[in-house]
Amino acid sequence: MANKPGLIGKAIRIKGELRGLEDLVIEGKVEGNIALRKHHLFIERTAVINANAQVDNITIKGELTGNTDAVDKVELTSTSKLVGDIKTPRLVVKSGARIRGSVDMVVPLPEGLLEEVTATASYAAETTPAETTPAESDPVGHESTDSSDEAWH
Amino acid sequence: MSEQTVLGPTLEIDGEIEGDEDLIIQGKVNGKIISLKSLTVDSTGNVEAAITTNNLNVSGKVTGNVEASDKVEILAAGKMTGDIKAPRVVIADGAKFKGHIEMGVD
Repeated sequence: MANKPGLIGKAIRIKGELRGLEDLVIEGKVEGNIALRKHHLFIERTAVINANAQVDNITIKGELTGNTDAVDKVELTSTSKLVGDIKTPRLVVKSGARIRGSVDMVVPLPEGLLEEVTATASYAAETTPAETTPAESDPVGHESTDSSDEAWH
Repeated sequence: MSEQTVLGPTLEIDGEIEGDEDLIIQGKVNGKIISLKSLTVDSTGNVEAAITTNNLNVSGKVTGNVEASDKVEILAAGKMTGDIKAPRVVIADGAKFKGHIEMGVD
């Protein structure tokens, strides 16, 4: 039971300040401010949230109006609707999600994530020469066509 | 299984909670609670609020006035300070209570 995240059900309305150090699932209505440091907030399809959120991770399936500040990641599923600004190093938006607001991803990455990202980036660099080679060979190709043009003359 | 909301032990709410489903409070609530179903304040729960509910069960700490349409029960581990207005009140052996009780006796 201790591992099960707390739940604010469909028929619950909260107005005010909400703070916690645990994962939380919201199906109902919340108005005000939500702060879950180092934890994950799940906004379910039935939820209508009118609040600023300070979290580590947030998964939005319902409606959120307010600014989101996530230390790790923001995920917007296909049923989500977000009105407000997002500040997070990682953002995932699924097809169907509706957003109005600005996104700022230039924020310090949390510890551990930097290594993860650099590892993925170097892996990408290793796997992308096929992509970079034509780009590099392109000007060479132009030069060769130029010289061949001269040769034509 | 009926709908049930659980506010976990680290959760703190300053403000107003309104609901039409069972509510279990394991954390801290300051403000006002209106619940049409039952409200349970668990042993880790700490509530400082004016409460309107159908049924209140107290195993934790409650400070504030309570109006229940059915019953208020303070269990052995429960501590309550405030006035109770309810047709039925149960206070278990070991429970602590300070306040006025109004059961609507003619």
